[in-house]
Amino acid sequence: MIVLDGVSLTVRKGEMAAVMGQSGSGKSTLLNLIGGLDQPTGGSVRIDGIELAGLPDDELTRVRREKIGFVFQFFNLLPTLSAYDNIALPLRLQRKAGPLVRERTLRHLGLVGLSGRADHLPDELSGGECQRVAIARALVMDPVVLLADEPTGNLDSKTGAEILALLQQINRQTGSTLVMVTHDAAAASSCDRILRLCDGHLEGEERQQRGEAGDAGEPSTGAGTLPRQIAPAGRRARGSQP
Amino acid sequence: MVFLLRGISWPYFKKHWVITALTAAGVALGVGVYVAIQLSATSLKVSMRQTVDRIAGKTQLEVMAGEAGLPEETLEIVRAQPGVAAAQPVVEAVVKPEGLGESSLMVLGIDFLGDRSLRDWDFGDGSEVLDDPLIFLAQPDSICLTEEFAARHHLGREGRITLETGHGLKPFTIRGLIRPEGPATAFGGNVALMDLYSAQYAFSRGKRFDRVDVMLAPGAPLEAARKRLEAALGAGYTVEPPSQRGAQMEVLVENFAAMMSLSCWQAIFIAVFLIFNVFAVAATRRRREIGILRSLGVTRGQVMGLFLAEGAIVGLAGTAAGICLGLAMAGAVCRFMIGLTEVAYGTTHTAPVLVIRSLVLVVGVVLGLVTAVAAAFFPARAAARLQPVEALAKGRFQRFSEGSSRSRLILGAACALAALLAASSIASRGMPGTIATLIVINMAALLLAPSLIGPLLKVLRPAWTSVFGVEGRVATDSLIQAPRRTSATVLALMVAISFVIALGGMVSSYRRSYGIWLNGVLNADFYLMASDRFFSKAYHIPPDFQQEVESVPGVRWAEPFRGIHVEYQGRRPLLASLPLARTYRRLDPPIIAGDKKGWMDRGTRGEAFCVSDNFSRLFKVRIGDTLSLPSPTGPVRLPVLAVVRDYSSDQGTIWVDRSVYVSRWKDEGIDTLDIMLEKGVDQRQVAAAIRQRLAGKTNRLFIMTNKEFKKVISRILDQFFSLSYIQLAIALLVAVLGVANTLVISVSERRRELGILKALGTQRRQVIRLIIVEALGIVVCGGVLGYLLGSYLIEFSVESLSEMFSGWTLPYAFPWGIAAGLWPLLALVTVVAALYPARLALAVSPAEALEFE
Repeated sequence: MIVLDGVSLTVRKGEMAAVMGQSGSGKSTLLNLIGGLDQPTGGSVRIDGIELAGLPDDELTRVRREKIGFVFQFFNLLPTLSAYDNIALPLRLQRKAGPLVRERTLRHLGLVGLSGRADHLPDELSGGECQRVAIARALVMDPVVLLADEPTGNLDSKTGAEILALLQQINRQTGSTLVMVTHDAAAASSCDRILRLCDGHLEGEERQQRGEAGDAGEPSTGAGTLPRQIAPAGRRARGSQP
Repeated sequence: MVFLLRGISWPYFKKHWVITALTAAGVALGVGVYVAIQLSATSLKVSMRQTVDRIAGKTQLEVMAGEAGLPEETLEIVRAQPGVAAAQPVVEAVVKPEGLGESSLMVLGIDFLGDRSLRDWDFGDGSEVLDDPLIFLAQPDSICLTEEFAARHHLGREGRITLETGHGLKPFTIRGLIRPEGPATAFGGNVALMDLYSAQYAFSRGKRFDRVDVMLAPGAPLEAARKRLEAALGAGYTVEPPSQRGAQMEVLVENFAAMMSLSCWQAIFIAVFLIFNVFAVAATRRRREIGILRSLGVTRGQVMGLFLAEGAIVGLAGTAAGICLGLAMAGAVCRFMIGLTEVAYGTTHTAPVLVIRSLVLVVGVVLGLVTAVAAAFFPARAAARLQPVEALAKGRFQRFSEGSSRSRLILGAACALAALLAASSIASRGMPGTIATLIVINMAALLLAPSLIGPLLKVLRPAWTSVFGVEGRVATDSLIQAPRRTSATVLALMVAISFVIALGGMVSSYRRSYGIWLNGVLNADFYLMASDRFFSKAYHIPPDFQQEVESVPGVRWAEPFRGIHVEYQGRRPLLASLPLARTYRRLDPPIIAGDKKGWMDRGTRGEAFCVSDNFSRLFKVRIGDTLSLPSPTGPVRLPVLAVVRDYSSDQGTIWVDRSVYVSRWKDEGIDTLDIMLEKGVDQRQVAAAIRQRLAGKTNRLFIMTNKEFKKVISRILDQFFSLSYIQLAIALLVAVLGVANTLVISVSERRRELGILKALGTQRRQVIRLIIVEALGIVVCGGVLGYLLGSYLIEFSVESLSEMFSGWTLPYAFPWGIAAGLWPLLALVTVVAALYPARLALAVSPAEALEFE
């Protein structure tokens, strides 16, 4: 089944882009292709100048580890690890030195406002807190791009607004690049661009003045040195339905 | 990796500790049985070697003539050979002391004056033996014990010890104590010394020794002396260094260890399934976790490494428990092995000190680790191949667990074809071929059986629904919908049950054939023996007892039976002798090939041999061939005129008339007197008269009626087959572990379904019924498939395996008793195994379960 066809887009460094569309329109497949979780049957996907299409699995894994951060609708935290350990996991997988792991993990815990919840397991955190941990985990490797799949889809409206505000704040502070898949028009309005997908085709694109996403609480200071560049472009892709 | 193991694997193990423990238990059982068998075999071998070495002293060569012993005149021939510095005769008997609770005591009959040239017996100070050996020798009830043995039983000089002898129980007076040094430390210190001629009398050796120990003159070359002695003594004698005798005993132990090892391999084989099942299910359940890790940059290799490392940890835990279990069981296994070697070959030994060889432990560790890692390999590979998108998506449970059924079926069919071809020509393929064929048969079954599980369950569903109602339907549906989880356990059960059926079939077949044969040949009215230790070589009936018995009114005649194991082409077949002319007056020989009339004419005159069917197959001997057996009077060459059905020995049996045996083997010993009575006499009165007639000569006689004798043989067979029953028990135990394991996994996986059922108003007892009914469904599938595979394995076992090991071709016999008894037993253990998972199921809260996803 063809899921994406003739989709071509470029997201620039520091940009916040929202992908909208109905269920089955190919949003998540697009995100999976950008994130190297899936491979296109044709066309090209480039992240920071690296061509992902046709990359061997181990190389693709390395790109995911070093250049991409994921934020999922259902958080996808490892339930047996504390907030601290969940955030530290990508660094440890990279075999970073202990002091560095500690410093960066604590900094990102602070960045998402969870310094006091480091030892808590996901079961002991609220939905919003879990998503903050997921965001911190996604940022801890200083990825080229942050990919968020319905990051507010599993949260109540107030918490969702807080998470969007946090993402905006991080984008402002760190200049991070963000691609977010969402159903939520309010969430999309917090981005610089809105891309509309319909039946696997890119139907339209709007550039806009970014709206504020409400009071985002108090994300701590401490900036990541995130973004450099993102340039995904797809012509025709086959993927699995979300 | 360490971080992943600590952060992800360890919590998973902790959360599912019951499953983990049951899985490790499978490994522990396999490793434990291996360690126990190997350690006990090693200990026994070391002890046997030490006994032979220590008793040997300065002996360089031993002269023997098989179990019949050698005539006294041999001694002078040996002493006359150049290069022989000393030659000492020995009578050796392992006997049971009465009332001391000791298993065995090795009594050596030696020449006290000359034996010191070979062995350093230290009698300590003030011993009468040293001061005046003549006092010791003058009294035939004199015996020396080791100080250690005497102290253990609070015995001192002039104390009495009662031993079983060829003349019944006889008291002996302790007239010397030996210090625990040199030869006195052999046989665990359970050594006693008697004068040579007293021992000959006590153990009915007549004018025969068991062996002559030889020390050569300094500088005399061993090989040249050995050849000279062999040439001087002729065929029928063996001249070998003492180590050779130790090696022969070790072969016996190794044979039993190899037979017992079947249990170990079987447990390991089934443990592989358990681990495979657990890891396959774990890989399915942890797909989201795998997806998260993959999305965070964990490579396929790392995912695979994580699962393999988990397998290794479970393997290590199981191995550690298995080694402890093995060490704990080794003593019992050792005693069991001693019992078996005694039953089968009449060799007796004392329980040795456990020798712990690090190599055995290392192999045990490797075995446990390799088993666990190998079993975890395919689930680990499947987990590693999982695409991150697929893993993170919902509702992909079953896709992940489906296998490629077409390629599996093709491979299964190919294996089945190969198995059929190989099985038809197995007899000529030897041990490796047989094992390979067995593996291919099992492979074929394992590859083809999963395709039968679904249809079987679909057939079962209406029956289960009508018997168990809605629980039956839900249970069978649950099994059908989780093919991976269901099939691995069903296959493990199938393998275990097929093993039980095959083994049971072989035992039934052997028992039935043996029973028919026994009823045909054991038709004497009474059997007289010198000991209740049926196969012991220490006790013989004195030859004059035959006449004594025949003179009792009511006795028609008595036939002296003697059976010894002889060396023939590297094996030890049984040479059995009876006065055949008399024997054939009471029974029709079960001849299956050859000239019956010719055999009954010439065989009874001592002009021919008759061999058992298994001897004929094992040694490829045909009618008309001339068989040459070594004897103390030179090779006995006689033609084989008949082949009879005979189950006396798994090494084959050669029958010869007693006249030939007595004249050529120079042995008048009797193992059993087969007694025929006059018609119409009262058996009890005759038995009492026989006891009375022999009362002055022996105080311990074993007279058994035909029925009692067969019962004794049946009991001995049971003892021999107890190994099979242990294997059956292990197979069942591992199978039960499998069922329990699957049910625990099943309940954990179905928390949501169980929660919904509870939310809909399902009662507690219905939940319990559901779990039990599901377990019974697994058992029925495993049972049906196991019976099918087992039925074929019986045919393979009785036709090919039995023929290869013992030369017997046995008729096919399905073990109906075991098969019928297995169902209620399986049902019972299944219910017991289901209790814990049922408790888990009851603990599921509907609210918690419904928000599970």
